[in-house]
Amino acid sequence: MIDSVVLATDGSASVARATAVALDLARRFGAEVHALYVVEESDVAAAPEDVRDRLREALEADGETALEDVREASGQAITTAVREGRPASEIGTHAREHDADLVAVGTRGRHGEHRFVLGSVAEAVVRNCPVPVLTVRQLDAGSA
Amino acid sequence: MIHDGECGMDRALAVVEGTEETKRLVREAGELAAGVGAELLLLHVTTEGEFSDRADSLASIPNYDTEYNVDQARDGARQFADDIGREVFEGLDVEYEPVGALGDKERTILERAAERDCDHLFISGQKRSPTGKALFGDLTQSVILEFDGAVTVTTV
Repeated sequence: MIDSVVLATDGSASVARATAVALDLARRFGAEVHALYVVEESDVAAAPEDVRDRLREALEADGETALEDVREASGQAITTAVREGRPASEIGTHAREHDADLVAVGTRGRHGEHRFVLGSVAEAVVRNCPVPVLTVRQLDAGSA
Repeated sequence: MIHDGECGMDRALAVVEGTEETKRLVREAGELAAGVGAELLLLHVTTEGEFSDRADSLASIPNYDTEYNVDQARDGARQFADDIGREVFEGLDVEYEPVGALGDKERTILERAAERDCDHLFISGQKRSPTGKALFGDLTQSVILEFDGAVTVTTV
């Protein structure tokens, strides 16, 4: 039984496929969907101090866009959240807070990990998440 | 395995191993598949190494005449998957098809999934080293990166 699904989006192409599958399952089970975007704290911390706030705002705006995409795709009420921190850890916390039965993530991050390697966030989530993790790989360009 | 408007699941394949985690995995797969009316395959792959170890052990038993060949290995694997299914789904209304195979795990899983047009795989993510340390399965990572459809991983 799935009552609650956490969908972690980073706006990437691989998340789009995971989103479609997760939303379909959520719909079929009548589950709540909780979409999450995590601003990577290391991205913010790595920036010069005087631009950090602007960078944070820009990343949060990216997050709102990614979350809006999920909301549109779902066609139903979902909750959205933007958190800042270490992505895998924030995803885990969000899953606990929402009593998730399933967590959906993409396989490749924004940093463009090579397709032969699982993105670091995906790996960390899959390794540590106490509930099942759904992943769908990004299709290579030209193979769709 | 690409279709317009990806859907959650039409035919699922759960990778059955000989670990405790496997039962949790199979139960998850069964609940999800049954919940959406999807077909469920339970696949156990016996590796060449396991096969030859077992053949050697059986050959060393005095007066053991029965042949242990690849057909028996596949059948044994299918039987194992079936046993797991029956145990996990006892009293529950979950249909499944046990499948046995002999060969390289990664290749066999992907081949069987393709042959049977499966769009959703279930696999366990965690292995434990002899010291109990949790390892991220390379097999799991390979399957996630190679399979076109959805892969749901259970851990812990």
